[in-house]
Amino acid sequence: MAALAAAYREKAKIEVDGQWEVGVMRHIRRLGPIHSGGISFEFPERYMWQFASATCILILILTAALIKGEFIPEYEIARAFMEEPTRLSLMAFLTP
Amino acid sequence: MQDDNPPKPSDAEVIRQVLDGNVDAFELLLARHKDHVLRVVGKHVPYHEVQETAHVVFIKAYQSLSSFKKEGHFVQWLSQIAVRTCYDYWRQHYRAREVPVSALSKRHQDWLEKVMSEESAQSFREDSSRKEAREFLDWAFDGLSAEDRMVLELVYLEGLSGREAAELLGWSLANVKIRSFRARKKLQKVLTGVMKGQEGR
Repeated sequence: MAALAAAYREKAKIEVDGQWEVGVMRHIRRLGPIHSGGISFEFPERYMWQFASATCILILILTAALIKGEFIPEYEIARAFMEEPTRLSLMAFLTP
Repeated sequence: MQDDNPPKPSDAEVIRQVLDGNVDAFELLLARHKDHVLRVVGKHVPYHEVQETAHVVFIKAYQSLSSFKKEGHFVQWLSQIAVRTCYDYWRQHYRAREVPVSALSKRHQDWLEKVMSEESAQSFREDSSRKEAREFLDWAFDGLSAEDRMVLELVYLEGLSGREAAELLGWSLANVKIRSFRARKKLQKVLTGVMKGQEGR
């Protein structure tokens, strides 16, 4: 492991010319000014997966609530009117 | 007598200028810390990718500057960005890899035999041996996942504590400990496999 550690430390000797700095600053100037309180591009990515699991749970809860609740698709409403024709319905008003 | 050299602004002062809209002020931070970033990045990614990766580090640092806590150390914060950028590099490299890890070449097997026979202290001073050591290191780590590679490099090769590695990577300490234990086992398996191949010769 000592030889690997020495090889690892040897890897750290890198030098760049002035053009590299020019390239970085050119990129930064293209991005334009930033201001305090602006959006951070570093942290939202870190927290994204934490919010993803919470979002999935919320979707499951809402789906369960919709299934159990009063939400009824349109065809169910139409079938209810057809099965009970004596009920006052919108059709009675529309037909002459 | 007046001092002709005005005191250089601190990192915090330069950051304040950049956040006030003076983009060119960032050049001072770049010049001041580029060697450090290149050193950090140079330890973790291949030589031909260092400049590009270090470029990305400074762009991320610039974009995240408003999130830097003024009471913190800028170099430490920049190091975190550098290490995490290197980790992202290996995650993408690992996903994109199509060719399986190749077998160890005879030249590297001979180098390993020399190392194991305790000739390494002398032989490592030779340029050719250093080159082989670096190549062997790249080969040994090439089969590891991005997570295993980063943990091994930080904890076992760089000698950082688990807490320091966790802070740089943004992981929990428990995650670092478990990962480093497993990664070391994997690397030992690789090295043991090579040594068994040596004995069979």
